[in-house]
Amino acid sequence: MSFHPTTQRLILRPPTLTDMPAFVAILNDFAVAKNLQKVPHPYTGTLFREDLARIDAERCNGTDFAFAVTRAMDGALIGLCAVNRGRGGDWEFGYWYGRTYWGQGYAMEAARPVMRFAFDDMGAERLTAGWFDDNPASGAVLHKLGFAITGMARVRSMARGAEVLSNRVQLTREQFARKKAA
Amino acid sequence: MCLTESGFLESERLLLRRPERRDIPAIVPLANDYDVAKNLSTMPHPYTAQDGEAFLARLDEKRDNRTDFVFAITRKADCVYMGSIGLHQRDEGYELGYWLGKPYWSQGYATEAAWSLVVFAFDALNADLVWAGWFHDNPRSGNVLAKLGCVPKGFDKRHCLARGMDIGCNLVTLSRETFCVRRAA
Repeated sequence: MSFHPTTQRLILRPPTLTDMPAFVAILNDFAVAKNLQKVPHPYTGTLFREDLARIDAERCNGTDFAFAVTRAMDGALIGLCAVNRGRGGDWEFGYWYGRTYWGQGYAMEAARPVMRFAFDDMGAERLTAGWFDDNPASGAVLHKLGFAITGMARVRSMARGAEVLSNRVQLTREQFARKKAA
Repeated sequence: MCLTESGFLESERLLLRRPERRDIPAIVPLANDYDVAKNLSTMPHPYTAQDGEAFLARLDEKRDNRTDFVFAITRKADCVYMGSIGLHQRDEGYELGYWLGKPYWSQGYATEAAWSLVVFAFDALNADLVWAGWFHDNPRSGNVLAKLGCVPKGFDKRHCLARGMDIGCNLVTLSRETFCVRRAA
């Protein structure tokens, strides 16, 4: 993938093996992992290698595009933003950021080019996403991006080893286009 | 320290890798510091994104020559770009040169990165000798080189682009024998 979106403060690129220590340091934080479905806690280098192999394979398949989000000014790896193909024209949108990088608008900034990529390049008809009920910060990000609530579901969080109430949200291609025009 | 299949040099805290275009926004603020540039022969001051582009273009030109080996010094913990380090083949042997951005001084990073490079020079490049120069008013760098096992070999004047004048420069060398003793210790 030679697609390296750049925003004012961020450079998005495919994750690589050399990201392992930074990636593990961020994800091996329960405060981060508890907001995610498929990240076990503790998180280790071995798990990273498996995840990276899956990310690389799915990118080749065209089914999952995970971007390492890095800060341009110092190259720091701050998080991950991804879209993966679901049923029909649906693509699931998701992300995580290291705790020290929260509250600075990075999630919003990285999301836009990834959403654009899903709609414009991948032909997505609709983006879906979810946020755990006790993680309103993520809900606020998705709301600002234009996602609207479609319902609630109980989904499993591996880190918690329990089911968590998740708000399901979506954004259609038309809504995205309107939001962009606005 | 090991040289991986992909051309990285890895040590306890550092990953040395090929500098890339995406590094330019990180390189410029660190390199555009007179306190950094004044210790180097060829770093321009002020340092702009165009200088970063030129730096990468030179690397591309030399990529296949096997005469220059330049690495980005990045911190494994967070992937931050901290500086650059390289080996350059000269008549006398491989010259070691490096710089770190000011926020990353005094934490042993230069020593750690330089050790990786000398291991690379002796093991992978089969060098007989590595040498380096440090400006007389930059004793920090002299300390780094001394810690590697470098010994004084002479004194010369070398041009400093940022200062626009010739500066007294201490020349030091590290022989394969000294290196092997160091490593065994």
